[in-house]
Amino acid sequence: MNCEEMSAHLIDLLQGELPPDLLAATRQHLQACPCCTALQMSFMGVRALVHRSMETPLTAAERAQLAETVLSAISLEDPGVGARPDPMTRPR
Amino acid sequence: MLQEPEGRQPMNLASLEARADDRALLRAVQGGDREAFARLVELHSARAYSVGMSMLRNEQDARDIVQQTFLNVWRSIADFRGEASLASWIGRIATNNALMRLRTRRRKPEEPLPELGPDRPEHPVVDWAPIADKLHENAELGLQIQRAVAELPEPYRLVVVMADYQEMSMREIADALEISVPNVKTRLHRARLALRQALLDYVHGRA
Repeated sequence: MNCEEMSAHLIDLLQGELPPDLLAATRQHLQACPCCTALQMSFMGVRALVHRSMETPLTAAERAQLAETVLSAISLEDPGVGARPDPMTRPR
Repeated sequence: MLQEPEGRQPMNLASLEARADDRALLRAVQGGDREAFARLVELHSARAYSVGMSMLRNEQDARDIVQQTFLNVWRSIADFRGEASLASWIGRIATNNALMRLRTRRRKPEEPLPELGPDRPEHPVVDWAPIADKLHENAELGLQIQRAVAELPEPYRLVVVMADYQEMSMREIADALEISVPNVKTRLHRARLALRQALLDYVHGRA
């Protein structure tokens, strides 16, 4: 396997989708090629950083407001569904 | 040192506990408990909002995505069997809603894929070393990557969000975007090179 072929398989390798029959060849290439190893490590770093940095933190107040907005929309659409049972009409 | 690819992450104790909490919450919501549903929205709205923001880059659109997503969740929660985590399921619904909004926003046919630079880095060995040690300790890098993702042209941004944040498979992304799997891989490869370069520029003080 050369660097160009390795490059084509790098995405599959990082996504855990590389066909098993290619795993040994890619490992062998990576052990021998510092350039592709560096590229693989940098992609792993980028991927991990994206994964943990994309979540936009919302304050408790923002989350509560969103929940209220959603519940209001649901009530408008289907007022009966999901309402808490009225204790006066709950079957005994 | 050669490192194993990350692939899907193994579950740790916290994620197992989160799943157990999810199951209890799910049972309550499926039983029609409105307070439990409000709790579910509070727990998972950040995920839906983040998907909306990263794909649409507009705060009001992201809020609309949250609302639409949880309406969808409410309507279909009775059928949810828990094969995926609630967070993942909600994230997928948010992704689909954001994609639908993008399609209605788009008035002209899709343009050719914009160029992002060479498909191989010029100096892969020497360039990455200074950044590797900072990945786990520098919160500013997180902000830099958010900005860099936001600045990617839409075709690239979408695959990054779906692959790296939503952890969707190449086939799932291809189906969602109605493109081929090789096209998804090309976009992801180029996008990661561009993000890598943006981080290097930041670390080297050129950004």
